[in-house]
Amino acid sequence: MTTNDKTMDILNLQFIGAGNENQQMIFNLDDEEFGIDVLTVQEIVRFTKPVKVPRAPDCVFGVINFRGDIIPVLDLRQIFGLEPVKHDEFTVTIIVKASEKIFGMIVDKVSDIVNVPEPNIQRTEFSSKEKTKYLKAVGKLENRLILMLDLDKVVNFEEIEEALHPSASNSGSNEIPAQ
Amino acid sequence: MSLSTGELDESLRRLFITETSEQLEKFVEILLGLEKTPGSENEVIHKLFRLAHSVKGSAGMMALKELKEVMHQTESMLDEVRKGEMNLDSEKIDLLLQFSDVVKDYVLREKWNEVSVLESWKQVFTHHREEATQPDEKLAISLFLSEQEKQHIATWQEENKFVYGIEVQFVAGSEMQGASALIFVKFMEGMGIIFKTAPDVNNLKNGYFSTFKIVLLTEKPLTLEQEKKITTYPLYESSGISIRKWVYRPDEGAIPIKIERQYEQTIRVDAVKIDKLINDLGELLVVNSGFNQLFQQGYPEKKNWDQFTRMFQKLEQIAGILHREVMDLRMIPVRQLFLRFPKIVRDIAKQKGKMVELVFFGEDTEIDKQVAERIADALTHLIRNAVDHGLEDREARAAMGKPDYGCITLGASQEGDNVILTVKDDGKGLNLQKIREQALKNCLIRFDEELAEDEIIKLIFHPGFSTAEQVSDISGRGVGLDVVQNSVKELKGDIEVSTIPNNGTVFHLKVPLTLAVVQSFLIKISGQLFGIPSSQVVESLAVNPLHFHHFADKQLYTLRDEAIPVIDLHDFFSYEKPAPRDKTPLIIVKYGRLKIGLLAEELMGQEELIIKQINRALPENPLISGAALLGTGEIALILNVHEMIGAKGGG
Repeated sequence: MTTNDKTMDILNLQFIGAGNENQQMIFNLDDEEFGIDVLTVQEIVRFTKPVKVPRAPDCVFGVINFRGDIIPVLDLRQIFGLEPVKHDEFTVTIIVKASEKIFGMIVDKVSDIVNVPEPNIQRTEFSSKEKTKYLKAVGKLENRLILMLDLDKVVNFEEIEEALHPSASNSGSNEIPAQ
Repeated sequence: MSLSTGELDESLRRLFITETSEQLEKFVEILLGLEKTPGSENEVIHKLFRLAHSVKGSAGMMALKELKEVMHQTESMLDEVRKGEMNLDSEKIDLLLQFSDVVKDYVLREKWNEVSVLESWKQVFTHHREEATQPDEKLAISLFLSEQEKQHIATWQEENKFVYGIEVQFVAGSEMQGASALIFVKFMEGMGIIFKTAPDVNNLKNGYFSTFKIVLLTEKPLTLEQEKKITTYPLYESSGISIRKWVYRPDEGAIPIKIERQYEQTIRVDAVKIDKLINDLGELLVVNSGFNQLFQQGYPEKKNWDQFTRMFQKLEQIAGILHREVMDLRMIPVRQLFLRFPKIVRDIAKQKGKMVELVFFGEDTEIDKQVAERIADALTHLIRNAVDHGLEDREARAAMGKPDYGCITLGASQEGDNVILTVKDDGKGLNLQKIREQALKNCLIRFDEELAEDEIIKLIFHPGFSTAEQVSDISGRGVGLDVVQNSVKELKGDIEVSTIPNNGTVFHLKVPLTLAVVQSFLIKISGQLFGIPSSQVVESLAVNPLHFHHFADKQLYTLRDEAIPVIDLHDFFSYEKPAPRDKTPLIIVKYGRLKIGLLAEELMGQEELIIKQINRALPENPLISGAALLGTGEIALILNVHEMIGAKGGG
């Protein structure tokens, strides 16, 4: 835990100092590197097991207490259709703010804060049906490929639900279990 | 620590705003009383005079020259009434009521700029005093404009165009003012656009008026020559024509709501409550020094263990008391909420030509200030509706043999952790047949649907229902009842409506006493904590699930001859089910008349929870109404029992 805490402290310090527009915080899911705009990050906290919310969308891991507020935590692995992994000492919750909403995202680990120069950013139209629709651009950094997330889309649960369970949109939350 | 000038100014300003608003509220209250029972007793006039005087005093203190002057005029006018030199007739009361609105708006604004709406009022009062003995319907030009019209004028001015107010005085006892005014209007049409006249052009033949006013809009400023032409126009029976370039400031029309809120944020607390609080804080200090002494004797040992326990109990007790008392500070008597209604009722009644009596009961019932604020609009809505649509007009009432005065009752009473607010009218009642027809027309129900009376009544809260055409005429109820329902729902409250044809309609709004702390049952489902507000719990028991009756796909539990449907929360949430035990906790909850049993894994007891909204990043989840942080740092989700009963589908 201590190494993790130290990393987090350093990262937290780094992102406080960050200000450039294309500063990206890099986190990992499996071997993939994802980037989010550093200015959206509120804080990086150690992973705490969220409290499950019954009948919430599958991509919602649960809720946690963040500075006295109760905020939802998303399971990014679920959204990207990745197999669940065991949470280890590197697992962190990134608290972000997007679309005026504050929420947490559980990621395998946070690795870096980098500046992606504008010419290296490739904004492509991603297909709306694929998982890639949560991406807004791809950044190239030497031999690294950074998938830049569109948090506004990530926090739009209705669409996520629709994408994960295309047919279940009607019968989802109001279904009464058979007794 | 001393306050900086800025802070001092700010606190002085706050004090001024709160105090003056309160004085004006009282002013209005007395005026409304006078309007109901005319015949001004000296003591009452004296009170008005004193209130005007103290507003004048505070205005002087804040260096608001304008306000001070106009309050001085008011004072002088009231002084004349007091001396019997002037009669305070209904028209003047009306004028004073309008005036108090203007002053209140003025006081509540952020900046008190030099030029203001008050200017015109000075003239009004001067006129009134000069012609105290004559019948008079003189109003300052700004007074006969509606909000919309003001807006229009403001836009006109923003386009760098011009507005003039022209006032024609007629000699006393003149008989031809109607014709004269018409001639004058014809003449003025050559000067620009006649925006509005008072009295209205179509209404000139009726009755006597001593002044005739025109609001004139022009593209270019009037030349001196033109102005002279107007003021010297040879008008029969007129004693003078005055013209004033009128600078209408849009900011005077619209008072930002923001400021109103700022003013509302302060709570006026009964001094007795503060005294009690200070007293109990003293107790806390005593306990504190008690602990100090004990610790000086050394850390808890067996020999002083008893003493420690006693002190600790005392601490616990005081913490509880303090908590209650601080919460109590947020409570205000509903009177403060009700105070705004006499004026609202009066205004609509006047507008609709109805006679309405507003009766209060239970004004001393206390309610959380926040709840009061959030329910205020809903109440206003219901009361407006009651006056506007609920009560019949005078002829209809007379035909029914009902008293001329329609009666609206507004009341409050406490019932456990809830306050019941009642809005009742003695009007025509809801026409269930027509509500049904209207709902059919709007496709809210099927034509063959059989509905009980209360189900039909519920239709009026349907958003699709209220936006329908002409609904107010058909149903006898106005638009927007869904808004009322929403604000009650947001407070986790409940609405009950009952109606008797030709006898009236009653709305009961059940809202929680307070939003901050909710006494709740804590339960565990599959190891996870949940809360159920105690106000919704009828009782809790330990039962053996094997004794449930099964009927179709439902389980029923028989409690004192009453069959109660049971939901196993594990099934409901698709959680893992524990092995059946013979003493499983069953929490009986109710919503309206419906009762339902919730089967939990474990009952942890009752606790006072501070309920928070789950951050709105989570999609709306009707089953969970919030979450609470427990002392242990754990999170308990609060179950929304109403929705669960609804989702269960009629039990």
